[in-house]
Amino acid sequence: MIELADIRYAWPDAPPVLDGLSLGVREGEKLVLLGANGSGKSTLLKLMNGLVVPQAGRFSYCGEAVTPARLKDGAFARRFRSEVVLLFQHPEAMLFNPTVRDEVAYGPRQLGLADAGARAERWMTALDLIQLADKAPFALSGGQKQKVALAAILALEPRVLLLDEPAASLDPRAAGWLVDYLLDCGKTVVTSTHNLSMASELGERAVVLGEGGRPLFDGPLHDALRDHALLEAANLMHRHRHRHDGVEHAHTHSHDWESSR
Amino acid sequence: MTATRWLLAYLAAVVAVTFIHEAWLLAALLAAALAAGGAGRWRIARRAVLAVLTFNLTVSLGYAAVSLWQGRFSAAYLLLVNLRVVLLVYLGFWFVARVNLLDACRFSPTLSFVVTLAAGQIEAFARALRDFRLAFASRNAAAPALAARARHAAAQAGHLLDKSVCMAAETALAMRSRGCFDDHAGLPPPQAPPAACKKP
Amino acid sequence: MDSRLRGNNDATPMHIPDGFLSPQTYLPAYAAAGVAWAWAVRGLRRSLDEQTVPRLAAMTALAYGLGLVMVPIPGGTSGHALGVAMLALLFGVRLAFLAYSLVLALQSLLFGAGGITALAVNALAMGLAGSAAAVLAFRGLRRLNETAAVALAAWASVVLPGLLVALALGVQPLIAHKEDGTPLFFPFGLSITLPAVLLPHFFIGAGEAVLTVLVWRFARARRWCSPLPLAGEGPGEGGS
Repeated sequence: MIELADIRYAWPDAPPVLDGLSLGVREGEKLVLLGANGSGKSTLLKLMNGLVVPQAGRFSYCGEAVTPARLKDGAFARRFRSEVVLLFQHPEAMLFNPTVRDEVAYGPRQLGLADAGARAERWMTALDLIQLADKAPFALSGGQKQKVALAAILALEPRVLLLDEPAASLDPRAAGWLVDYLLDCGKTVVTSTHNLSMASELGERAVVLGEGGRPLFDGPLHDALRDHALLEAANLMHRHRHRHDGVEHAHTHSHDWESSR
Repeated sequence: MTATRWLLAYLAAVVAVTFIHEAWLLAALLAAALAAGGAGRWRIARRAVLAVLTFNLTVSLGYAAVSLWQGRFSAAYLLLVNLRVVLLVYLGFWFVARVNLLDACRFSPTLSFVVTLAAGQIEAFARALRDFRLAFASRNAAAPALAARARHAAAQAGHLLDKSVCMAAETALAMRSRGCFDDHAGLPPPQAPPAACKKP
Repeated sequence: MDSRLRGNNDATPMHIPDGFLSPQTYLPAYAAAGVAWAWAVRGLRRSLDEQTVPRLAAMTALAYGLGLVMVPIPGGTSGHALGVAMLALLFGVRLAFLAYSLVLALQSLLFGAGGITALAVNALAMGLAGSAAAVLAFRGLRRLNETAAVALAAWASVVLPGLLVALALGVQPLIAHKEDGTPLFFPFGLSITLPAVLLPHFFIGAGEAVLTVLVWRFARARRWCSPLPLAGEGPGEGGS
């Protein structure tokens, strides 16, 4: 469904963050992108949402190359943007409508869907946002904003969900809802995280990004989570001295890393 | 030569150039500046020309049209003004590439502080606004309506406003904690950051 | 660093490249700006608290950032926002003036956008006149209708500087020319610069007005500016 071949991408005036990356995602697959900050996870997701153009390599969706020229075609753009959605790491960047209800209904309204209002109600209810429906998004807490952003993209009923650190601000109840939803939804999902304990809930396959711009690992998630050397190389685990029971030692381990904001 | 002296030298050069009204002299100075430019001189020169291309072309063509119609065209003027602009812009870009403004502000600790702080926050803002732009593109399956574009602009401005107010409050507390205000007994007691700055 | 930060990098009419303003214009402008900067700094010192310096840094970053925001303009295009009215109404004329002056200095000396000769003219036009126009328009009209007052303040904060810059450019052929009348700096007189600069600024001002009203409402909701007594000081005056 998604094909990336030999991708190289560098932000302006910076060295490439992705270099020689090739990746394929099948329909219905649930892929977890693991990597420390700066490893290119967010960049890769933006690429898969057709927001940035690689300097080299090819990105295809359902067999069609996605390029700026192709996205200028109104019909293709509508189809692509309603089928492939991205939840940004900082959800306030996504919100601009006067009320939560308007925010969630925005996407469906733009597509001219007759049931835009009903969809908004449905998704606000699912994410426990109904009592906030008439509030302004900017007045909400970080976790609430993330739920609104999530509702807004789910309201499009997309085929591909790209999620950038979705668990970062969600409270445990909402995070639980999300895990259940992803399990049952049958969609293609690519999630990025550096929270190893959440990672195992989010998919079966892992791609671990290191600092070289290429994946360090691409395979079953459980194998990745057990490979401490790999995770240390990817800066997802560390070792430092600590004491228990009067014995001081050091071994690799992880913590529940909070997202850096 | 210290950064501050380079800054003064640059400013003096700019003033001097604007008093020169002979094209040949400006051309010679431009050649000298290129020669002294060192590695990267052509990259700087190219950026200088590109930076002023639109404006200068518009002014030059406009001048040509108006003055030819009035019968008072002067090619010498076009040469003079374009040479002067390219020279000045080249000097400006050269200065920016060679001299660190933050070093040049050392003569005033307050100014240094303000400039350093502002420059850092500007980078963060530029990155945040980039995310806003990309997110807007991501959420618009069709061309966005005028109202949506206006709200998007307001959302960006609001975000910047929030972050600046919070940044000011937090920096003040950080400065106090590092002892910056210990000598200023007359200052009012510290203000807590506004409630809206609290992280979720 | 500079190209990443300059966003679209299209020159707005107010950002004049060096070489188009004569020394007879920019040297006195610098002198006048110097006096104005001293006035602003002295005024801030009176209400000095430990937030003043960090605030100035934050406002400078804010002013720069606002200039990166693209605002839809009636007529179909977009232009860079300005934000002078926002800053002046929320934080006062002195802070707005100093912040915009610093932004112009950073643009020319740190981010490589040129325009050091035009800095004083731009700082006085946008930072001082623009701020003052915004505050005066707001104070004058807010009794009638606050939203309209904010909108007009924002519009004036764009159009008045445009007028001043058009004047500065338009007098160049008059004050700096050869004996035979050929220009030495900017070649167009007032009859061209006034309409050429003012007309687009009417539209840019409209876009700025819409943006400022929306942000004003946001700032009020956030309580960045508290409701004011109808008589007496304007919002944020004195840098507090």
